Amino acid sequence: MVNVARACSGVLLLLGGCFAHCRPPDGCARTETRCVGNVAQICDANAYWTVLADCNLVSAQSAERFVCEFVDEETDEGRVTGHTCMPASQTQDGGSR
Amino acid sequence: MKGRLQALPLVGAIFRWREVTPDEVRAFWHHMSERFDTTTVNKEEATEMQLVARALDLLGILDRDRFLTHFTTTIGKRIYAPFEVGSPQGGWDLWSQVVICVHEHQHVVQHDRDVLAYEVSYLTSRASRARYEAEAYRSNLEMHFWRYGSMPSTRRLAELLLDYGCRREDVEVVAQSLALSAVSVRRGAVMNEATRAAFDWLDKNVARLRGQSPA
Repeated sequence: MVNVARACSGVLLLLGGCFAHCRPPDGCARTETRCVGNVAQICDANAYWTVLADCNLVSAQSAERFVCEFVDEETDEGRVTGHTCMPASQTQDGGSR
Repeated sequence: MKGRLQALPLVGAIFRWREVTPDEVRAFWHHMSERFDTTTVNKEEATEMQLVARALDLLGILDRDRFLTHFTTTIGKRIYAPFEVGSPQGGWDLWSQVVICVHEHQHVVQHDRDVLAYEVSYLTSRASRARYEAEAYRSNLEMHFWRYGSMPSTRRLAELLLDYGCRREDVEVVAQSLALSAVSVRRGAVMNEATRAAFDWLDKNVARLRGQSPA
């Protein structure tokens, strides 16, 4: 039983390792953000780029079109800077940057 | 606390005033279950959850009772709820039962979208777990904004990830992710699929609750 559990956890870790780290880290800085096409990405704690929000999907679910944009805003919790989905009608060029 | 007050006989009605009703909570869960083809199971009665709770306790990760009473758990399309849907109780007032329903269904969306990669990387990578939870907690932001027209603390939400075995650096990334998501949500973005399904039902059935100031 213990051997079965060990084998299962080994397979799980192998799969997990593969899903999470089959490629070398992207080398980005933690919490750094960017737009790739119309997708906002954020750099995770392991230095990989990951999807923060797909603005095309957001557009499909919202009342208007959203595009990936850099924002710099003062909020109740302090200043927020980075890339996220913003209404196309409120951006300068109406497109992704 | 609010859930315990809502559950009180007679006076409980005072704390349910201007609230979603138990029948509405049940109808909402039914809507979400139908939409995403999920099953809800009582967590304390599920043998598999008892085993997980014991394992987490023995490993020193999470206290058994805390896991069984404070955390809703989703595996695949089965949602293990530590409360009876529509019955308020300590820690689970009626509105929080609606919010957790959306949060857990976003995990179902992740399961459907990423299949095995979701389950495996959630269990084995803290950064991946943080990313999946950040996405699910985004539903909490969206629901709070729909209900109260304001944002909860994204930092406080991110720190909940410490309970999931995530590191401080993961929390930092989740806090940034949620803060940026909050900027989009304030501009009218509906970012999560589970939230979209929730809003469809809420706008149609309990629109009176939208934009209420917190009690």
